[in-house]
Amino acid sequence: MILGRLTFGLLAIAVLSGLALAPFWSAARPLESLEALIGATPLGFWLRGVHAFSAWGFLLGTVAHLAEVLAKRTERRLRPIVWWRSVALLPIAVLGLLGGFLMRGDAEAQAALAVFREVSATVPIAGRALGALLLGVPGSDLAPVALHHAGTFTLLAWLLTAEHGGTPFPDLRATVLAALGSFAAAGLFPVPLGPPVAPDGDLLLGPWYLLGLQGALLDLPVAAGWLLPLALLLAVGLARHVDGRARAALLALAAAWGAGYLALTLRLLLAGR
Amino acid sequence: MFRAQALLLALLLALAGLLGALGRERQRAAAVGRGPDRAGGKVERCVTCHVRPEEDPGGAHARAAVGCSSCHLGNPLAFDKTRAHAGMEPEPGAHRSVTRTCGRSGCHVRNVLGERERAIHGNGDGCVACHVARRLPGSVPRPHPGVDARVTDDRCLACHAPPAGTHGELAETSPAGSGSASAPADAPSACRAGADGHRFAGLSCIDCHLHAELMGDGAAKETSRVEITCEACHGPVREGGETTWSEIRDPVSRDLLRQRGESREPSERVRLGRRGTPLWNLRPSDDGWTTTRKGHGVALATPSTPVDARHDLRDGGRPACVSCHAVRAPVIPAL
Repeated sequence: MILGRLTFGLLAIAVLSGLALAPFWSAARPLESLEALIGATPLGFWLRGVHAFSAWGFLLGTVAHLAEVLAKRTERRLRPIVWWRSVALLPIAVLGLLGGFLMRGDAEAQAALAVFREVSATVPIAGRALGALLLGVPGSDLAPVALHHAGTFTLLAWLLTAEHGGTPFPDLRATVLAALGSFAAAGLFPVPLGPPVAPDGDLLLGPWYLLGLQGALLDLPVAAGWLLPLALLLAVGLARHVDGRARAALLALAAAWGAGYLALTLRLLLAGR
Repeated sequence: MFRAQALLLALLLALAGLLGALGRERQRAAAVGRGPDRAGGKVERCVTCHVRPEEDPGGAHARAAVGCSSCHLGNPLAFDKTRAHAGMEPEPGAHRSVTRTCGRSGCHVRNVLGERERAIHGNGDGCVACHVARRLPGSVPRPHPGVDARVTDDRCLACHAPPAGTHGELAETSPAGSGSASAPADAPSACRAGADGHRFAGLSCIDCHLHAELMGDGAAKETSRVEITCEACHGPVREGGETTWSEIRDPVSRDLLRQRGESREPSERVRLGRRGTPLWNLRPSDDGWTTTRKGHGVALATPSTPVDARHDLRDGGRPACVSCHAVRAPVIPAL
């Protein structure tokens, strides 16, 4: 499928641009290093934009491709274990992108780091250890976050995408198209950084793809931060194993989840204005 | 599969994006300041642009020592003006942001948060009302006024001027320093009255008034905050109104002395305000006490209350000093 190939191409561009950005980023002084990148490095803002847009494109492509597969009922072409691993690509992509957001080190990133530390702490038994593993211990620098962003989640995303697509590398055409699209978006739309310190009274917004979850956490217990995504993944994953009304019910549940997520996102955006 | 048209469209879009990026790159390069980018041992990109000497407040708050963002907030890491000025506080020390400016951790934190906010409540607009030099008519305009603890009278009188002044009884608020014979008959009494001895001696408001009564001591007061009394300087000193520096725990007084390069022997006597704040500029001398003018460092002999019949009215208790010494008070005939 074209969408799947393009998504793999976007992942490749995200990886390549990430490699180009790595020397400029400092775990001890994340925001300072990024300000220097976008403010003092020729075309640094553009390179950062290429990385951001290709990564966002990868996430959007993953979601769209998943919806495409479910709509065309082609999920059964994959063995169950491969299907579940493909579904897992969605949270891996989100966690990878979230790591990139946290690596900004600005006020929004610091707030998001604190929120996700709390969310992970509500996971039974291993919650705090999981949080320390993924986000580092409180007070540490962002090296653990960067490690999982550039290493763990990127590697997993590549492996699962390659397994799903049946090819270790994206094809050249898809990669070129992804690159051109990312170049265009990065040149036309600047990717802003947040303030170093939270302004008084302003609502700090997390990454755009998690605004729905942020909106849900305003009203729901902190554990909703992982229970809600888990519910979606289970609904989508189980759709491969059932037919008829059960499948329709699971997909309706996933669709309702998505609609609710969009509504919460809009509510938060309106509250933030 | 991807068609050639799709690739061509993407190519055109990418070219447009690259052109946009090059345009923004040109703007970025032109906007970057050329000054140093560090101050006070940290990255402070404000000073890449704000390089003029008159933009430096000098003193303890000198640009090279604390940079700009320590007081003015904003984003000291940013290179472009818009991002650097986002969230900036043009008036550091104002109530709205004092906990993030003057009262931030590592600076002028003396009390816990709630107490500090209460402490400065009512003093104009926070710290700046007193501690930033005012732009007086006729003075040379300066982008950045000085910031200091030597509060000059013009700053006090900006709020405590007649007729709203609180010092009519001593006529110390007379703008000209002495009474004006041409003042209209319905002018406030302080304007019509002559200046008293304090004014003639060149004393400023802060020479008598203590930091604790001006900035508060962390506790809300239902009545007057004024600590200073006539007797504290002139005697007879009340019971417990005098001690030695070994007993003084007030960190602000010690900071003020340190800033002036002064120190006090632990055994040196010191007099106290109503609530125990030391009058650090009142010092014992061979023939009594001397008051040092805080703004100029000039020491003045401080007359003691005479021991005579006029001042020793033990039977009915002595009336307040201003009952007789106010310029408006009727002259008491000699006994």
